[in-house]
Amino acid sequence: MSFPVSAGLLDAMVLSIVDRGDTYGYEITQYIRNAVDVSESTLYPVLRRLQKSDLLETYDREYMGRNRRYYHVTAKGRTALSEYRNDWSEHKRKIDGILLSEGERG
Amino acid sequence: MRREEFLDTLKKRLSRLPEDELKNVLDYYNEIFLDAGEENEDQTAKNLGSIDDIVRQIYADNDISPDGDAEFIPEKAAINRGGQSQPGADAATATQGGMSFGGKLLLVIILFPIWFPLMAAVFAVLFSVAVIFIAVGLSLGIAGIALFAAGVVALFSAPPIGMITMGVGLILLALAIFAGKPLFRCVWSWFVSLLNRLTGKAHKFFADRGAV
Repeated sequence: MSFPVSAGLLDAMVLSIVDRGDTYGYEITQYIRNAVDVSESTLYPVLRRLQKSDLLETYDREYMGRNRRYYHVTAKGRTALSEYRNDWSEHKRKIDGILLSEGERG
Repeated sequence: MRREEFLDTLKKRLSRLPEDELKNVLDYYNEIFLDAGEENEDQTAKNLGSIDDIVRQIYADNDISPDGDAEFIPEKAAINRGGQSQPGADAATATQGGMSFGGKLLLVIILFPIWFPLMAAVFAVLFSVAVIFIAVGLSLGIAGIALFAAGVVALFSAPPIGMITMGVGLILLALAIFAGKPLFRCVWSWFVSLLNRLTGKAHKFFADRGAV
């Protein structure tokens, strides 16, 4: 089965990918698609939301005679990302505690 | 679907988006297509999913209702209702963002002087048209029966005239049955479908304004 991915988790994943180095829309979507089954259409609102809340900023760079829009994590974005990471490890620890424990309960 | 076709469709469907927002969307999708490679355009379009969903999502993100004619803003709706609006209704819409059943009911009641005469006029016209059609059928029928009866009476004094009169009466009666029945049925079903459409419109009118 596949687990649904929430909007918050997508935001966090996109921030994390861009945090490794400025990159462009298609590359971001390909990374995400390695992990979860979402389309580029799902990621447009995510990118737009992150821009509007100033977690990501963009700049255009020429590539083979056309413009390519690059995304860059802002300072605010980095703060949000580290919060997301803390929240995620907490969440993951709790879920794992239930899902992966094979011992006795309690 | 090819890149150009996809972008064209998207542009048309998103015509109510602010210009810079629209440009941003089109740039994004254009880039996705170009980066995915020209030879993969059909596959890329397939991966992007339905344009309907894309359009709906983007309009929702920009607070534009997808099939309404304008944005729904509770304060504006309250202003449109003019001085007649009551403080209770405003409080209800303001606190809930949308509109409760009570709010809807109140709106219907407040707008009563507008919609009731309109509805009444429409009904009156429809009703008179229906009456005309039914009356034509009915009068043919009555004339037929009357002529037939007159023919029966005349049969005793002047048999040929009586038979002709009876024959004409029967023909009229047959015409009344042939014409009247489908006519009646057609007018009736048209009348019913119009009623349905009117109530549907009324429902959509409120739904578009976020009342449901």
